[in-house]
Amino acid sequence: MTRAIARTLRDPEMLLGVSILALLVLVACVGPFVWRVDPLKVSVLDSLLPPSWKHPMGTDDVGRDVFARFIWGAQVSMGVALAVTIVGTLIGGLLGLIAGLLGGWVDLTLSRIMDAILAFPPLILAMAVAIGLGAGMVSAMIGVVLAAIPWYFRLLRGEVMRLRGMMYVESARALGASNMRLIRLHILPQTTSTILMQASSVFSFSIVTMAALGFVGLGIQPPVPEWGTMITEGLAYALTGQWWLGVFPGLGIFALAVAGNLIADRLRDIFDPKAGVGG
Amino acid sequence: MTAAPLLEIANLRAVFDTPRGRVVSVDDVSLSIPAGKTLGLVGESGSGKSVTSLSLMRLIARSGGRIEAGRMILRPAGGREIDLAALPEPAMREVRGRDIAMIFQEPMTSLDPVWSIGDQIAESVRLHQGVSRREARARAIEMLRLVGIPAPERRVDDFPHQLSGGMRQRVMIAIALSCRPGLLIADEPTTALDVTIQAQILDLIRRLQADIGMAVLFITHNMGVVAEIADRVAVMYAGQVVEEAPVAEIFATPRHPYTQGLLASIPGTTAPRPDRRLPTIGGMPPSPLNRPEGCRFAPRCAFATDACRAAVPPLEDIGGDRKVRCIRWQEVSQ
Amino acid sequence: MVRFLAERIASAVLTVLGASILAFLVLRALPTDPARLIAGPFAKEDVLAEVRAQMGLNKPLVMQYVDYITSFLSGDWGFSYGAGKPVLPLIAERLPASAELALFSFVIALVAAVAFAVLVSYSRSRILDGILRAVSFVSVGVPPFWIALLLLMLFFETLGWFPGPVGRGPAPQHAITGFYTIDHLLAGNVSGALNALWHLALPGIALALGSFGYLVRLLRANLLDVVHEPFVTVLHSKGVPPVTTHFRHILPNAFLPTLTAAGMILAQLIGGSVLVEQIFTWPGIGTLVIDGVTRQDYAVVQAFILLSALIYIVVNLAVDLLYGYVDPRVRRS
Repeated sequence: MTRAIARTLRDPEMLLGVSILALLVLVACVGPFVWRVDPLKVSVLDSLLPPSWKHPMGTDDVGRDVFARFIWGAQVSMGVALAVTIVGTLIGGLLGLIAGLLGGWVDLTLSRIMDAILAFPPLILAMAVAIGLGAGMVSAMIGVVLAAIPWYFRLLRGEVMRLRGMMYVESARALGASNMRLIRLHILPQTTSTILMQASSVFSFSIVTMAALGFVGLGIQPPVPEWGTMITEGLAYALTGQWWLGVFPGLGIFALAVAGNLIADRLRDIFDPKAGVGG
Repeated sequence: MTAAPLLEIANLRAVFDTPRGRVVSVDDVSLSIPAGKTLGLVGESGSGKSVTSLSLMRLIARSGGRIEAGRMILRPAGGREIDLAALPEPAMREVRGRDIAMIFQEPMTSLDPVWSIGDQIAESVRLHQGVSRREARARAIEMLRLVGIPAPERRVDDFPHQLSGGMRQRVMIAIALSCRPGLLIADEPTTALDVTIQAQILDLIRRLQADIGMAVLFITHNMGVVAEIADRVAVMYAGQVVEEAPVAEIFATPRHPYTQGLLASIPGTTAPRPDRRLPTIGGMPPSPLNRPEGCRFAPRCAFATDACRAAVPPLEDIGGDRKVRCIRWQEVSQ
Repeated sequence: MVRFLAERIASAVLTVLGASILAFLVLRALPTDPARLIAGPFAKEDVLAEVRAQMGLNKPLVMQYVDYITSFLSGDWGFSYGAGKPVLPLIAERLPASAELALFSFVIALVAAVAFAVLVSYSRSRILDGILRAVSFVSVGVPPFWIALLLLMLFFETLGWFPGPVGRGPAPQHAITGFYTIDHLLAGNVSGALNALWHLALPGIALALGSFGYLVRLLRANLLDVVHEPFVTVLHSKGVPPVTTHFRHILPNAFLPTLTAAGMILAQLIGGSVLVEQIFTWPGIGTLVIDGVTRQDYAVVQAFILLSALIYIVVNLAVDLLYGYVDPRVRRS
């Protein structure tokens, strides 16, 4: 653990990614206590004010403080992205594990299903699910999870098949190890690193996709502030000079997405320099 | 008076700047090859033989190497005299392929997969001789025929993946010889091939050398191959030349302990006896970062004395066109 | 080669099948009443009953699926209550706009990625390499809908260099391909074509950024791999000049593995331009779908979902086949 921290500190990209993430987490967690402004407080008199000391990110069309909403939005976005990532990992990973271990027609069927899911542009898929289940946070999350599952599935299935072919697994099996034991002792430790890698990418993906869904009104519903819906509001005012409404939430999404990608990339370089787009 | 040699390397020193320090791969090496003759350069991995050839072609910059000292005089037909060590890069590019050509060890990865073999031969021809596409293609077919590839008119449009290892090496030779260079550098061209193919390739090189009249620098770690193809042999160890002699002499009377060890360890050269194991040279060559003060072979040499360990022995001319880097060579060769 | 073709096509067909099942299930077998989805939330009970009968919702699920597939294949993609037209011609008339935008973005992204990656690879400069990586990360992390907003604010509202969110600009006289640029050119109207390009610029760049970031990184990595291959040393030993080596030998070899990824990106661009179209009021299938979503005109949405999957699969297949043709190792096997 300490070695990981030391390595992080020496690597500028990783450091940047982790710093951004840490900063935003800090803002999300500590923000409400430091910036004691009610994000829901409407005040028509104060509407559409540009950024100032009183309102660091300005106010929106009904006078709500954008910075307060930003903080809350940070909590929402990151919390949701985290939840989605974890659920996606568990389900996708589990399915991949099963497919890899059992092989045969279980593998074939599952793989085909995953291929079908992958045929849809992720945003479209999430939209479809959100529509089908009725717009709202949970449906949006389910949609994003569904879009993310095939990535984990492929990853874990690939790892399991690769490891199955390796000598030490063969010998363990020959000694009578059951599947469960194999999973616990041999496969999981090896795959944790790849899972972490993918998790960061999926995290970025969730952030952007949830925001996109919010943007079209399918995701988290107002008045809960979510960076995506805030950008939609910003759209209406973008061309009339009130730039702060759209720029700041987008900046938040952008920062999180970049952080997630940076971390994913560095993790990939550390754990498997040969895979994917190495530096 | 004999003509000046085609190639004359004088006191070449090539170094690499690595994170762990400065590595002198080629240390004060002097060699010469007359036109039309073959010099066999022998040594184990790390002896500096490959780096010598790459330095000759000025190809070591890509891996962080540079020529620190020495001259490499080339005398191509026409009376010119060029110092390859001092040549500016654009001029060197003209020399490469035209005056000196090189064939490498790994035929499987030496050709560009996306161009046909004909195109790759023609590329050399068009580059150095500025001929038309059609003419270059005709030359390519001619070269393929020369190196013994059957039905060259049909195979000229084949891609490398459609050829076996031996065939690809022939294509490499075709490319190398397409501009009739005065010097061919062959860096272990048969090491990666089957024994039967090896013989064919060696045969081919010998025949073409006679046809074209070019000099050959043949690099290998295999003494058996050297016996077949070289006129003269130079043995390298830890970056230095330790012995140099005409081929018959070096096999009959090796003067340097390392050369003796090399020859003795070839299966079949010492009379087999059931109780005797194949002789080997104990120990390992020194790390280039940590070479001994004196003779570099001393740690492994049965004849080493304190005088040997004190200073690096000079490369002595011992008559009969032979050189040895050993102060005890007379005692050693009994 | 034939085997390669057969395998790829068979695989694609299977995936299409799977995708169609998924698209069917998502909107039919989910908790919300499909009839209500199609007819709208304000439809009365008798309308709903009619729709249910029409949709055959009383039939077993498998039969419904068969109906769904057969009607899709025969061109009956449902009826859009919102637009008052059948869905197929509605989509058909708006598809070229999206296709033009997607293709335009793809071309910019690809050309820019190749240019930048080759420059960095050829120069072997570590600084440039660092810049490339930074640019790539930023480009990939930027949400397209946000950058579209920023571009509009900067280049339209503040600087006035590009048109605003007004769509494609004036239409050409005769719609032959549906692509404004091409149709204008075909009619000899160069200024019209340039105008169309001018309108394409901002949305194109917004869309292209993510793809550019991904492609430039991939290409750079592939170039780096190829540069270290033994045949490059052999090229040097032949005396081939560095520029020729790079463009004639290194780039083609590096580009091959990038091709399949590039295809995937193109495929995603066509379906994924939804948000950018919305922002620029681009009359493509993206805005059509958004309208469909907001107006709860789900026949459109349903057709769109299956269509995007189809486009994705077809484009990927086309790229796979192209790859098979271009790579001599596959072509001649």
